[in-house]
Amino acid sequence: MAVFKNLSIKNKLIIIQTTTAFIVVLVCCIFFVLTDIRTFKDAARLKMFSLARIVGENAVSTLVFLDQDAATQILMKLNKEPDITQAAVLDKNGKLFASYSRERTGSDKDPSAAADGKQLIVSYKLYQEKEFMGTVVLHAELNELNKIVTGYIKVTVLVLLAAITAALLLSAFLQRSIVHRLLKLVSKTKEIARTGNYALRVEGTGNDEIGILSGGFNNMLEQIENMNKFLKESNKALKNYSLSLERTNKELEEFAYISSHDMKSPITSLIGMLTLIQQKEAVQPGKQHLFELAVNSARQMQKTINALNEIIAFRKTLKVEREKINLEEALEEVKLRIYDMISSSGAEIQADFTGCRFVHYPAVHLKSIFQNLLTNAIKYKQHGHPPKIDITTSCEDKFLVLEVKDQGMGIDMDLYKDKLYGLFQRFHTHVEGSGIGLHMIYSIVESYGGKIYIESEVNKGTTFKIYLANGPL
Amino acid sequence: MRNFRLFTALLVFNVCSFTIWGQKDKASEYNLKAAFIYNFTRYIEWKGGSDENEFIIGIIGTSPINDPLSEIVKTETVDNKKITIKRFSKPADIGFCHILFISQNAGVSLDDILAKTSGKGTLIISEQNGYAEQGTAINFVVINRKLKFEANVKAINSAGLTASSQLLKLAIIIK
Repeated sequence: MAVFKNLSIKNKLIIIQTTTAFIVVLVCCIFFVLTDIRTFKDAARLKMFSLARIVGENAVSTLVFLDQDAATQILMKLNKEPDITQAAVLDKNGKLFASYSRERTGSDKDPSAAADGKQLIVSYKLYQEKEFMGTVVLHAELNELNKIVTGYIKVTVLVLLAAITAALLLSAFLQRSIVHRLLKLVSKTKEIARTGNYALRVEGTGNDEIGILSGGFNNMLEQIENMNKFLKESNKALKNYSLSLERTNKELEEFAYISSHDMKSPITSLIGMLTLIQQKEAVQPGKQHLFELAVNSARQMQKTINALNEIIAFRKTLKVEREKINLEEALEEVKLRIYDMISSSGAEIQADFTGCRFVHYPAVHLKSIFQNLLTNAIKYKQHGHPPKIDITTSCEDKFLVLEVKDQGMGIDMDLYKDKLYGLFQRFHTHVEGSGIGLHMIYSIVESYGGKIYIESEVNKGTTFKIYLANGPL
Repeated sequence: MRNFRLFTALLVFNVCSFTIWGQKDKASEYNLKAAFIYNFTRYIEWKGGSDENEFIIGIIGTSPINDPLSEIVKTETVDNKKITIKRFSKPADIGFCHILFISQNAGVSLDDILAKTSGKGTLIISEQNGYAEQGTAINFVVINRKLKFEANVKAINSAGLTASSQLLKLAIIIK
C-alpha cells in the first residue's frame, strides 16, 4: 500500500479503473462459464437419457425374444456417439444381456472415475406393459467439456485483455480532465515557488473540485501578491527611514565631535588663564572662595569634554579586525597599565583561565573591557576593604563567557536597571569617575554580537557575565 | 402378470440350458417356443372385430408345446381376452383361430392348411425348415443352438395382420 500511496494520481486512477474492469469482467466470465458448464452438463445428461430411452425401447423386444445378438447390434449403433464409452443391457435379474464398449477407451473404466465430473452414467429401466424387463446403462465421457472449458478460458483471457486494454485507453483518455489539470496546478505551484512570481495565475478553472482548488489557489496567490506588494513598499519606506536616521546620526556624531573638539582648546585656555590669575594673586582676598568654585567648574567641564572626546574616538575604533588573544597575557598587560591604581588600593586579582584560554576578538577592545571592569571594581570597592576580584572564563557554544566578580559596593538594580549602560550615568557620585566605562563595555560587546548580564547586590558585590562572540577559530 | 414374471424368469433360465440343449431337452425347447408364441401376440396386430371375447390359439397335430402353452394360457391374457387352446387333427377341422401352430408331427399337407386359413386373419406358426418359404407367417428354426424364427412378411400381410418392426428386426426375413 505504501508503494500505491506514492504513485502519481494519474497512475492511481489508471490502476483503480483497470483493476475494477478486470474484477468485473472476471466475475462475469466466471459466472457465465460456470452457468454454461452446468447447462452443458444438464444438456448432456438429458441427451444421454434420451439415448438410453431410445436404445431401451429398441432393446425391449430383444429381451423378450432373448436375442442377444440383436441387442448387441442395437448397442453397436452407439458408436456414432463419440461420448459414449460403454453401454450395456441388463436383463430383469440384473444379469448382463448385451454390452458395448468403445475400443478407444480400452480397459474397463474405474467406477470411481465418475467422481471427476466428466464421467456420466445414465440408466434407463425398461418396462413392457408395466412389466419390468431390464435396464439400459450408458457410460459417457464428456470429452466435449474439456474443449468447451479450454475454449472458455481462451475467450475469457481474450475478453479480459480486451477489457483491460479498453479500461487503460479509457482511463488514459478520461484522466486527462482530472490529472492534466492537477498537473497544471502542480507545475504552476512549482514555478511560483521557483521564481517567486506571485503575479502568475492558473488558467482553465471549472466548477468541479479541481476548478475550486484552482480558484482558491488563484485567490491565495492574489492575497499573497497584495501582501507582498505591501511588504515591499513598507520595507522600502523603512529602509528610507533607516537611511535618513543613519544620516542624522552621523551628522549628530559629527556635530558632537566638532563641538567637543572645538570646546577643548577654549576650556584649556580658560583654565590656563584662571591658573595665571591665581599665580599673579589677582584675586581679591576674601573672594578666593568664589574663584576656586569657578576653577572647579572649569575643571569639571574640561573633564566632561575630554570624556566626550574619548567616547567619540572610541566609537571610531569599533569594527577593528579580530585576532587570537591569549587572555592571560592580555590581563597582565592591563594590570601593568593600571599598576598604580592596583597597588595603591591593595587590590587582589584572582584569574583562572582554565575554562577557556584564548578568544578571537579585537585586542584593543578586549583590553578596554578588562581595564574598565578592573578600574570599576577597584573604584567602587567597599569602604575599608581592599577590593577582591575573581576572573573566570568558560566556553559556551559560540561565546566566550567572561565572568568578573567583585565584592564592592554593588549597584541597586531595582533603581538603575534601565540606566546601567547609559552615557555619563553614575551610581556612586562620591567616587571620582566620568560615567563612560560601562557604556564603552556595552558598546563593544553589542557591536560584536555579544551580551552582558549583571547581577548585583548593594554592599555585597557585583558579577559581570560577559558573552563575547568568539570569532571563527 | 405376476405369473408372467415367473414365466419370463423361467424363460431366461431356459436360455442358459437351451444353449446346451440336447435331444433330452425337448421340453425346454418347447417351453421357449410356447413363450415366444405368447410374446408374438404383443408384436402382431389382429384386425379382428371387437365382438370376440377370447383369443384362440390352435394346434394342429400332437406336440410337446401343449403342456407349456397350457400353463401360460391359464394365467395370461391378450388384450384382456382369455386365451383358449383348440386342438385339430386334420385341416378340415380347422375353425377360426388367431394363431395356428403346425406341429412337426402334424403329418398333413401344408397347402391344405393354408387353403383352409387363407384370408381369415390367422397367424400361422410352423417349426419345419423351409415352411416359411412355403407360406407360413412365422417358422421356428434353430441356429447355433439358439432358437430363432423366420418371418414371411408377405404371408403375414396377406393374412391381414401387421407385424411390428421390433419383431421383424429380430426375425430372419423370408420373401
